[in-house]
Amino acid sequence: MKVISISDTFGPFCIASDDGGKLYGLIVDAIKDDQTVELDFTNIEVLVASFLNGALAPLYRDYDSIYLTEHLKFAGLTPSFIEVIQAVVDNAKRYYRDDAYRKAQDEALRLMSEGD
Amino acid sequence: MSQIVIPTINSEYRDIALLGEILKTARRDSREIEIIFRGCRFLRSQAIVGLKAIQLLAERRRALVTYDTVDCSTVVLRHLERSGVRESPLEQPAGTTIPVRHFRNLESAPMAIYLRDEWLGRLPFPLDPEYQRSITSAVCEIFDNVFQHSQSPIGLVVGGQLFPNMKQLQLTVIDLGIGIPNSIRRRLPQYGWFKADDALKFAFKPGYSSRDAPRGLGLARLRNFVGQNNGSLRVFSDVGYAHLGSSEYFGSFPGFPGTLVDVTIPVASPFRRLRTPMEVIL
Repeated sequence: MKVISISDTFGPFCIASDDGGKLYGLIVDAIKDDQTVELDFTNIEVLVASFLNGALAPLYRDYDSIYLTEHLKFAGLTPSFIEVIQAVVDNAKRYYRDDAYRKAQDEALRLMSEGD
Repeated sequence: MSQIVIPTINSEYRDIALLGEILKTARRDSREIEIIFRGCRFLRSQAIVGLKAIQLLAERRRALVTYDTVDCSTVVLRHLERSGVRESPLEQPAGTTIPVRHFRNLESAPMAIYLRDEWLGRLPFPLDPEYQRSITSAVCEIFDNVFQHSQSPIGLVVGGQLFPNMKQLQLTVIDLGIGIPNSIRRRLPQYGWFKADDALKFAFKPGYSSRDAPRGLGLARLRNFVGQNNGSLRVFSDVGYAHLGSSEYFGSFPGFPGTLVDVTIPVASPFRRLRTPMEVIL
């Protein structure tokens, strides 16, 4: 298993989506060869959705959930980090896999415009 | 030369509308700006941060800023000096004023360290580390949004205040960009008919973004954080206004030349731990 220490690689403050994109590259480099990757969030102080969107969301464009469950692991997570990672993962899954979700977004926008 | 009169400015809706007018005046091209404090008995941190934004605008076009403080209370002068907006000949004790800082670009470490050391660090007791991580991460979502969407010519300015009696910490972030409603209308022309309050509702919905999806979780996360922890969040952006917290309101606003985000969080009540799963489900 390949372990990526997020704090060693990006420092304790993970905000920029560009850094997230770099992490995406590191993950893909490993899992494309059928390797398992562990993302270690120990010592992370700030974790922002943009960083995670850059790192994790495109994985759902490239791989399915079963492959990612087998090849991507997490360590050193706190409850608030689990919450934001889960939100990013769920959003990415719906976006790439669920046409109904996209249609629901459009419908919500229409209703919003009508003052609902 | 343009003259800007600064009266007492509180933090209510009408005060932020007045601050918006003042900032609009400052945006007019002028080689010299005279800031006159007239009957100014106190300024809330929103106005202090706004004054720093005026300084930055002037610096950007190499204009001179002068201050007339003859009719200004010593409380205001002290607040300006403690925040760092006005130079002080003497070292000032910090008091309850959070220093004003300016970030021209998305600088992850300086921004996070500012929140940790100069904002939360002002508390006389240590915070629960998980609460601290939650707060700094949620507030950094604002910073990230400014640099992704606002096109602010000055970047962002941030400052705040500790209210020890109310056991609250407050933070104000100002950018002088195009505003959230215009940002959404420009990036998504199909929603060009959005009213300003519609646009703010859109911005705070999880999974909605004017950027390529999947994105758009940052402001929703901030909204959840303040809602779950008895905080409040006010956003004044162009002609839109949102108040989020235990109750939510979206409406119109007279006008702000950019966006002002105001976050208030309780710091003494027990941290409400979220019921989260023990692991991420991929």
